[in-house]
Amino acid sequence: MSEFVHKLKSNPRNNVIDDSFWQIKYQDDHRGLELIPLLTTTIPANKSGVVVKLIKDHVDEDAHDLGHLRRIAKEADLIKEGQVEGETADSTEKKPASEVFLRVIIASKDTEVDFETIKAGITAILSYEPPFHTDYASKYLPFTKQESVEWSRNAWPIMWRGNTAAIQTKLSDSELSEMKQKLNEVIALSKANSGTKELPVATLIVDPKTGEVLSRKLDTRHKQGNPLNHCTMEAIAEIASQELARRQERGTSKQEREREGKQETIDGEEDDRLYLCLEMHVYTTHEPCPMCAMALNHSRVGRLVYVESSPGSGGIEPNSGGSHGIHWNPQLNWKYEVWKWVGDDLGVEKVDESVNA
Amino acid sequence: MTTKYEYHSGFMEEALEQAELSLNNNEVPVGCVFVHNGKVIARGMNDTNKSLCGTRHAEFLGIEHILKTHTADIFEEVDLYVTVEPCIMCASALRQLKIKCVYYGCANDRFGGCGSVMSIHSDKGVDPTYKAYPGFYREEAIMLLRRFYCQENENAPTEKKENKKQRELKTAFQPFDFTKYVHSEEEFVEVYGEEYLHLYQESLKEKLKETGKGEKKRKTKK
Ligand SMILES: [Zn+2]
Ligand SMILES: [Zn+2]
Repeated sequence: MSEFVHKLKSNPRNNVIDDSFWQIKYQDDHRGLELIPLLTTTIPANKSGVVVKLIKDHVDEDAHDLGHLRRIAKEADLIKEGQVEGETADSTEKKPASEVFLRVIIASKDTEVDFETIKAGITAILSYEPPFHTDYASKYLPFTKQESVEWSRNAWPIMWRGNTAAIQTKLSDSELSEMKQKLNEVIALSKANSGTKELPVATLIVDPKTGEVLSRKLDTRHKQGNPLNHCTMEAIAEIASQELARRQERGTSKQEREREGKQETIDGEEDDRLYLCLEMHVYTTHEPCPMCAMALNHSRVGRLVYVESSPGSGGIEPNSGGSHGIHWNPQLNWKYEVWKWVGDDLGVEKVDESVNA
Repeated sequence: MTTKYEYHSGFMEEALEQAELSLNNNEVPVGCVFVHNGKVIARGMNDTNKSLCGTRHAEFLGIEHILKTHTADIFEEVDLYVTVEPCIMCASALRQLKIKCVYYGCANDRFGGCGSVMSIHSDKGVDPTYKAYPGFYREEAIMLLRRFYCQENENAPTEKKENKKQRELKTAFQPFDFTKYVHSEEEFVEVYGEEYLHLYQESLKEKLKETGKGEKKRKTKK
């Protein structure tokens, strides 16, 4: 089994477009087969309805999400090694229901529930004590149908209805070349810090409609004496101050209107006043830290593209830092796309693992 | 003699004053003070609306004030008192500064980074972890937020106004679950003082009742 699990974990990344951009979505995306123990039992098919109802009545909530598993499996499907497929399946169909045996999940063994009472209940229904087994099932929904077939062969059968995390966001050829060009631009900017005590880290914020770069920031946290002045934070602040200046020029700042006692106009622009980076695209050399990743969330950006992972401190990737996946957390009210460059070496300078980009 | 709880509450009163000020400025009312050797060295209030910048949280304003006259290593000896649990962004910022300890009023269910949505203060990461303790003037902190959202709604154009029921200022509070944020009675006593242990024990009891309800539900289903 361990060799099998190893093979799955070393599978190439899913969601890679044009061999160059990897879209990072759910934290679970790249998890291999991880097994959890289940308590199961074998019962005659004609009793399955009553038994399943009894189980449902006792198990309010399983310790694991078992939504991707078949609740009931044919005994025949569970015997795999050295058997001709279809052989037993055919013969079972001719048998009366009382002679066909099914294997049913009671609950995962981590569930806090009175297993003895359930066992006694099933025994009472059947008028005999059925065999109880420990079976193993995949903890997670597989990423692809092929994985689903493979995992079902090695563990409890999976019900494959697709995985929304596997749906790829499409990128057109022109988008791909635009993304690559902007990455080269941000990398070139970061080189200005080479050989200085500042970090070779830089950020661009781009208006996706025009392709115009609205903010270009090189990291200068040391010079500024503020360890929080990461270039991504500075770029966000610059977008805000540009807009503030523009509004003040037009004499339409909210405060002024209020001072003059005017009714505030709701023209959509005011509605977006807190979300100035709304749907904008952000390019950075390095995977941002949780502070910057959340700042991008607060600012409602649409897309982040970067080159170098930050395994120690990053706030995005499933295997970075505390596995936060801040761009795609279901509890937060905003999500943004993230693409990591996985193509040829673009020459981004590495930074120490202890650094927050 | 002041109790531990009163000691922390004293600083929280100053943080509440900042929150009150931000409410008067039409900002989401969050305020904070930074304390070094028992003295307030900086104050901060939320400034996202005026600056048009979604990252101008109270914590950042206070931090920048301190860095005008100190180097960043001072934060290792600084405690933060903030009326609302730091968001994920601020929680990470505070960890990068190696803040000594954080005390806050109410939990932040939408963005909280010190135990509510994420636990940035204690998760795996490159910077040292810090402790974060809730529940100091929690109800006052919540009331300020409620007043802000009522006031927002009052100012909204008629078609955007929520119905009357939603507009009314609610004054009831859900019981607070301390056990989600403080992991043992010993730790609770250490921070809040023996006199307030009953608050923690009530949380524990409430939690037990909840699990008990689950049990009962299962039994009645039979
Ligand atoms: Zn950062
Ligand atoms: Zn914050």
